[in-house]
Amino acid sequence: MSDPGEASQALLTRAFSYLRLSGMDAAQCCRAVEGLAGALADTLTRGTATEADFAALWAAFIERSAPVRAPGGAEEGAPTLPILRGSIGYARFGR
Amino acid sequence: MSAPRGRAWQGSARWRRWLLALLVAAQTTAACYAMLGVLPYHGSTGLERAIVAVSAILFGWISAGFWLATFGFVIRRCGGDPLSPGARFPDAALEAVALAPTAVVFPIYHEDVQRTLAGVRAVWRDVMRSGLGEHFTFFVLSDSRDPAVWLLEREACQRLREELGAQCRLHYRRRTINLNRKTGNVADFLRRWGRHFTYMIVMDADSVMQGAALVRMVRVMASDPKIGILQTAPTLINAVSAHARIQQFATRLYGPLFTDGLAALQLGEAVFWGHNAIIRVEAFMRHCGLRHLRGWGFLRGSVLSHDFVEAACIWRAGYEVWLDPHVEGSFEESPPTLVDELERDRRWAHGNLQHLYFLFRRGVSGAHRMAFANGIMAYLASALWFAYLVLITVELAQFTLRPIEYFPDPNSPFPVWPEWQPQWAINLAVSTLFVLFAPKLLALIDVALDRERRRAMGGVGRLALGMVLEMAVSILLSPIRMLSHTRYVVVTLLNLPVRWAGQNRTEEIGWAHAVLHHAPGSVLALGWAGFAYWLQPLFFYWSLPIAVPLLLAAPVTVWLSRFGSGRALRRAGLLLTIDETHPSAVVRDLQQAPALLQPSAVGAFETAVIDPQRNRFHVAQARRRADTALRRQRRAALVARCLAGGPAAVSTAEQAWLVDDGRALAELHAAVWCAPPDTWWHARVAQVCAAGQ
Repeated sequence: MSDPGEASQALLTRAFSYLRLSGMDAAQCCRAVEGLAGALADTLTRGTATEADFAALWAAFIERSAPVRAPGGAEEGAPTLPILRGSIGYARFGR
Repeated sequence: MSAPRGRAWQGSARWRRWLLALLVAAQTTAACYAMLGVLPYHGSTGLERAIVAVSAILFGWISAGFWLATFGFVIRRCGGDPLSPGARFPDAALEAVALAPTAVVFPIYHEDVQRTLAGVRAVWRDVMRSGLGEHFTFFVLSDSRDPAVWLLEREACQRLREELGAQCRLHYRRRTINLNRKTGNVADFLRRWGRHFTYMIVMDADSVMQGAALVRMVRVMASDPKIGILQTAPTLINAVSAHARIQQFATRLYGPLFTDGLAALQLGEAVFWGHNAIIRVEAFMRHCGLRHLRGWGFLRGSVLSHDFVEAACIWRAGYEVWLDPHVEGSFEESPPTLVDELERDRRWAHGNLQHLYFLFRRGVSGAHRMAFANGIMAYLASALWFAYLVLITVELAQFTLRPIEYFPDPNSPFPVWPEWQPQWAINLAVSTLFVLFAPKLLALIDVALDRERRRAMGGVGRLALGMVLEMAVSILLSPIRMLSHTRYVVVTLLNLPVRWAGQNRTEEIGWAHAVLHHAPGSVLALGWAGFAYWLQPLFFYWSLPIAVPLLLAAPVTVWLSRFGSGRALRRAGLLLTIDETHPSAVVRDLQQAPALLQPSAVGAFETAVIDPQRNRFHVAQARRRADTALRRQRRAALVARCLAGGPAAVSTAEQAWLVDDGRALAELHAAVWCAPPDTWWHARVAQVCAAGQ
């Protein structure tokens, strides 16, 4: 890990951008990043933060703020029409 | 069920078709007689007999068009065909007919996403305006393979659903395995969801229809259970380039005569044109699946132009197919340039020539055989015209360069003195021009007699000017189309592969592209005209109407493709159509549709990986699959490769796999947001963040 201050700043900036792209307004983003900054401060207080610490902070933050959905989970608002299987009759043409 | 029998219209169909056949035969016989008179040996040589045979087919072809338009003119002036669905089912009588569940399907393949979805939006809004929207469900059926396209389609559909609100029943479905092109796409839809619906309205990517038209079609189908397919006659809209505006004007001006004539001739044995039509789902599912052709060469494989064949199948099963030109509000768009039109014709030529397979099969009605023959001739006529020019050149070369042969027939003791009869030649040329251009004059008279249409198209003066311009361009383009279609016929007969791609609907043609595209034709024209001049100056002048357009093909193509040229014609009040001067609500909606997607410098795949909202959306859309060891292994390898080298490190198919997998897309998303500073993904994330701010 290079400079912990630089890495911390990069983490917080990235978190802010991520939440903005997730559709949150700026105030909500600030509050969420505030929480991350607190967790980061706790980590730094305990000693020098490693790359693994930063990764763990990021993963926890993402999980808390904007969890990734599982495949197959229907999107809200998307209509679904149940499949009602039918068969196709194929045409034959004699000579 | 077997082919329809004992319907009132069948007697009328029979005598109308016989009348047309007699008129065409009489006119063609007279033309052949005149041609024999023109040729120096009056048909005594094999070469001359070949010329007469080719001329007979070509003249018969244009004569059929002439009489069809004349029928159309007479029918229109007499107040319409009493047997047509429009006359049998007046709007007032249909009002009480209940609507059944109807699917409106848009099969697409690598189309302009914004344009396609704007069309879907416009139709949906118009259906809702009709107050009967609850009976219709919309489907965008994508066959696109490139994730750069289908990711945008999926996102745009979601945006559209959000915009149209909770009541919007719009489904997006993408096939991961693209079997049998458009037929396979629609068949896949029918297998999964067909049984939910009584009717299906098939649209093209550039189709738009008024809600009232959809409602009317459903009611006509409900009123006559014998109808299997009801086809509308779409008119062209939204043309901007000069080329597209000329096609749009031509279909608006001349189209009604031909479609009315055709509808009156075909009656309940009409054909399906592939879109802007309603289909009885159960009958279609039961009888219209198309197997791969089992012939040789180009007559093998999937049926490319499926629509005519499906019409023949459903008719054979006892249902009728009607063309109803009087359903108002059925629209489509024209390719913006000649090159795009010819590219489309390349596929259509292959598809139509495949109909040779069905032409003489058992169980096909006479009317459908004629429709197959007509479709084949749409391209074969060009090859025959080319053959005619070759034969005429050889005839003249023989006549000029060889000593005169007084006994061309070795079995005849009587000498034949070759003679030219210029008066006959002039008569034949004038008659041919009359047959070609009289339908256009009839169309002008038809519009001139209709005050509303006449005013909407700019008045008689502007209409006539527009017609002269259209005829001039048509004369310029005919030899170019003839040469291209001839090439397509040869390429098809040699069974060279067809590229089945989405169409360009929005771009102009550059000089380099046009020159390269038309260079072979221009060189051929130069050589032919030079040879004609060397042979006989009179023949050189005769060759000019064909050679000059081929020499001018590149500049003409470029000028016609320019949007500026089209706009200038519009400003001058030329080539106006009723849909330009008085656009309906659905057309206005289409033109004013808001952008569903913002332009982005970042590709669709990268956005799906990086952007949290889009990533969540696409992960949620992925199919839930068993996470097998094989799948885990492939996922790990592809994710590692994509993370190390960016999207360029995986192929388009692999990108599609990563997105379809869902888990892979989520893994990529988590990883790229933690990518080390000196990596490709880190820079891309920074770019997306900067754009997002």
